[in-house]
Amino acid sequence: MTGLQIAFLALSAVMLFAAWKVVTSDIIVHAALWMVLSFVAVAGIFLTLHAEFLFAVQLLVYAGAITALVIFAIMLSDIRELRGEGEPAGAGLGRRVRRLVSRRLGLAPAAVAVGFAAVMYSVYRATPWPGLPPGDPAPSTLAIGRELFGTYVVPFELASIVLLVAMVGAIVLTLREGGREKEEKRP
Amino acid sequence: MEAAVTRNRSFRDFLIYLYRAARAIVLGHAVTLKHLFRRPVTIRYPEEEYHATPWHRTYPALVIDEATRELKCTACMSCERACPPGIIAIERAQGEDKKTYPGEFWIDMLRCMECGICVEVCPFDALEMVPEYKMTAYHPDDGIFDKERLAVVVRGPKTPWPRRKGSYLEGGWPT
Amino acid sequence: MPAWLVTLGWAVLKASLILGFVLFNALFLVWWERKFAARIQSRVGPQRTGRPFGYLQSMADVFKLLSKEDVVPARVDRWMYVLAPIVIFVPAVLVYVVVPFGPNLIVQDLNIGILYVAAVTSFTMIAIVMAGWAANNKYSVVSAMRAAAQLVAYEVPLVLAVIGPVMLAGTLSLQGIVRAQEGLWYIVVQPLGFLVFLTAGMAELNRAPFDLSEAESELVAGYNIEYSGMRWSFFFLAEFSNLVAVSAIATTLFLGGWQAPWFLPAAVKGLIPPVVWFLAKTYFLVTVIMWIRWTLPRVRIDQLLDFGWKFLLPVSLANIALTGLLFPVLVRLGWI
Repeated sequence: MTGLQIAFLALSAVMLFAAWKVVTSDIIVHAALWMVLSFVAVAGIFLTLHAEFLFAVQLLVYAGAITALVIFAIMLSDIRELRGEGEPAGAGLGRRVRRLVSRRLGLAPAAVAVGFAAVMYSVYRATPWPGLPPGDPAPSTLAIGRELFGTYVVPFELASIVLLVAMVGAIVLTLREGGREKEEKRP
Repeated sequence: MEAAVTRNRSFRDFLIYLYRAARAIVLGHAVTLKHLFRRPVTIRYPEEEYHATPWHRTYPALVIDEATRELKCTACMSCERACPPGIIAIERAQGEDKKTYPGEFWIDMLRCMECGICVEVCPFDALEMVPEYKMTAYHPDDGIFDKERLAVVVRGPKTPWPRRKGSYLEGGWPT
Repeated sequence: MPAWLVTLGWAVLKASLILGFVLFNALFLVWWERKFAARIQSRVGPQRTGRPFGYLQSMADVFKLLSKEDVVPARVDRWMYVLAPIVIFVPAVLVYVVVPFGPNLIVQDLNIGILYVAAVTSFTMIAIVMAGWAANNKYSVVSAMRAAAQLVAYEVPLVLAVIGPVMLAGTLSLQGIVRAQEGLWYIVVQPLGFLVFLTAGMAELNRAPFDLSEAESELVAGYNIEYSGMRWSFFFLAEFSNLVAVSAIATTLFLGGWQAPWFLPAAVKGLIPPVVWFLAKTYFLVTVIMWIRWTLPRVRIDQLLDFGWKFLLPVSLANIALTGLLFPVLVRLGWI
């Protein structure tokens, strides 16, 4: 077993443990920070696979931006919900079972999780294993750029348009009626 | 930036605003740069001294009559009664000519609030606020000034004010 | 000697060199900033410890901080409270891994250099949120939320401003970008990018006029409000380390890094070693950032976010578009 393999296994263990803590933490901010740890572990795994570009992007986008969004979501959430109000009463096993069958806390998340697992499984099955050998570290960024803007330019631009639509939609949804100008003129 | 960016103004207005903002930022930096190379106004106290003007009023002191070389105070106790924190203590004594004078005169400078009421009530102009400001002591007891420490010849030699070129003091002080 | 021992030895040596640089920087910059601010305000600044210029002031500060009681307030989130100063300090040091101090004076020239810098520095936000949340203090939470909003808003223009030099140099490696600037510093062809980078960089540093998360007149102190002694000093170390890091990256991207000015004759260029050029430019930028701090007043939070999203972001995008349009012209002129 080489050092890289040991690092890979250790990072995987850290990632799985952190992911477990994300779902089991009582304090939601702790869950968010455990999530950061799992993101960092994934970034480390990319590094052991010589995917330096993915390592940097993983840190930048997930550990940085996504975490900021999650923290904002937490801070802007209803405090009563964070404190656990509206959850099934009782304690112990009975409460857990009731939680699992409730629509908001059990069934909807379960449906999302099953759907995501199905997608991931289909991707896993569709990929010819073993995948491409981890490339030489030097040209990987250049190669990714060429692939993105050459071979995959149409899907790339389509993804950009989808994101743009989402952004415009978010702006329209959050825009208050009448705009800001009118509001300021109010006495 | 805010006004120009958020409100629906014309692009020309925005450019004018941008120009003004940039100009203000550059001019502001010019001001601080100028100050960077100016001489500091700090007076490094123990090495350099602050020369208070003769009309600077710090704490009350007993006036010595320049003609008789004696205290003007007659120990009438007006100041002791008027002192808001009650920190003046006088022991009245009587001379051979029946004139009263302060045998002892204490002011607790640690608690003096330098209000100047004692000076106002004194019927003989025997108390004056003096420009002396070195009142530090190593022991609290030294903060209680006695007659000897309080006695001063008021309106002594005028100390020169360190005037600098271009300072607002160049016009001189109002008299 | 086995190969792994040599590697380990080099790694330890490099790490200690970086740490030494960061600590010395903090010592120097604490003194320098106090002196500089004092002179701008027509004061003299520290002068008693280490006469006549007070050059031992930072040492005195260090001893004071070391000798202070290590207070962990009751009802703090203990783990996060203890971890936050470390989490903020580590990325501040890690940035220096890719900073080219000279042609051969670099810890590791990663081929994703500038992307690595952006990735590592994004941890600052997490550390600030950790500290703000853990302290169990309303001011620190407000400060942390402000910092998070600010860092997210200004990281986008910062990274977009970096793209200009990356496009011109055709590489993400910082050493490569410096080498590409031998003929001409990129500030000449990227003035807009430089201004955007400096502004966004100052916002990332939480420095005035963008120091909303440390607005002492509104928030008492900010996210580090409940910290004292050495724990507090880690926040300060990280802040000064980041200040130098932003200046060093700006030097690398726009001011030619360790290259001598391109217009000097070759004979003059050889006189001064590259590392001196690099440090001189970096500390010049540090001083400029300090100058800005002591000149401009603090902006409001809505002004800050408006400025970031509605002004800097479009300007940085326009800069990328301009760079793309002017690229063939610059190549024709032989400037790049």
